[in-house]
Amino acid sequence: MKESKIMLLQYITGACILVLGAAHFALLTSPSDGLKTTLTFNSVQSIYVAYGLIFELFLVLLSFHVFNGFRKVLIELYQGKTYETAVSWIMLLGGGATFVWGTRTILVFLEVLH
Amino acid sequence: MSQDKSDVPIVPLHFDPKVMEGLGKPIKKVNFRVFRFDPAKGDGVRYSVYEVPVFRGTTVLDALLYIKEKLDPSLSIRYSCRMAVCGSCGMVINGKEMLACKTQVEKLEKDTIVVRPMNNLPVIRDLVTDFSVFFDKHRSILPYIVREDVDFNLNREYMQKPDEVIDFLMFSNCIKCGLCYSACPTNAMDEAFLGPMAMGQAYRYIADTRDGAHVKRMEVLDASHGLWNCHFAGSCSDVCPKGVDPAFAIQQLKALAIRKAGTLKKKKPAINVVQVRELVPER
Repeated sequence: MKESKIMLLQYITGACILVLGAAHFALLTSPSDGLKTTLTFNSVQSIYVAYGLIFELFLVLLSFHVFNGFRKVLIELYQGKTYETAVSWIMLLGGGATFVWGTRTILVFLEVLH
Repeated sequence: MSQDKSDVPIVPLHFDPKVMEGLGKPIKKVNFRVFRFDPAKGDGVRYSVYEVPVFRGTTVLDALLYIKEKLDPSLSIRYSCRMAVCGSCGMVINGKEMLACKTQVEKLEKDTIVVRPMNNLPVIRDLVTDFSVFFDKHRSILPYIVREDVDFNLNREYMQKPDEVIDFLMFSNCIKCGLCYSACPTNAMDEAFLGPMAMGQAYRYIADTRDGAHVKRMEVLDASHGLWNCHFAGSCSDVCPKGVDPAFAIQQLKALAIRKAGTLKKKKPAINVVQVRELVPER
């Protein structure tokens, strides 16, 4: 994929992360029964049940944006073509692993997985 | 009737001696700390200090030539035109990239001036750097007008309207002195990064309505060490002795690449040979 297309995705995911991140923050800090219950298991689970798909989308955007950003930073420390390829693959695998693990967490909260 | 000469009031001439200060005799003496490195000797990097008399208008290049002529003939420097046109005498003067021929010692307002070779380029000897990589990168962006639709014809001109020229005129002033390349923080990190000069020149030709190689140039620019690695620090534009703004050019290229994701279309296509002939009168 051309670098311009990757960077276009980087900008779009960045903008979406700002919106979804704000929503995520708002959901976690304004539970219906007060701040004391914010981090209780039941409170967090109820948010996941209600907004599971949004969390999944947030996870996809973050997995791409963070690992692609990290890839760009590391590629700048130019050490040759092999280094560049290795960085790209490691970041791709890292992003994939983060996505899989995050999805598993969401599915556990949704009680699809145990 | 002509006025009698005796009627003309005599205005006393107020001569300010400061005007002449520094023309006949030196204003002050300035210490030059000059970077020295000779790979043949293998004794590593050192700085030599020279005391140089400074007159009004003495440039750093004048001072270095004074050192070479009177104090230390072994000092190596690269220069040519002495008037900020050739771009040969770029160096880091008191921590900032400047042309030695354009920088007056008096204006620096320091009693000690540190001179060292440009950053991000290998040093050949003393203040002389190797521009091979710099020019290789310049070559990679096809720094010339490419027209596949026209046979080369010396009797024709490729006419442009003034507003079409303005799109790229500033970038035509680039003298390839390398100061932007030296000041660029991305070049300091990433030796494969194309650099501000090459990308500024790529924009110069992409913005030119006579050119038709924008897609080929974009292939070089839209790569992993191309325009996306620019962090818009702006130091390239800050140090340019000719007022060129490569940082602006790079942001324009980013916008163009994003808009068309690598398959850039020009606002106006290059005029074809028939249109050219209609525009240009026979000689």
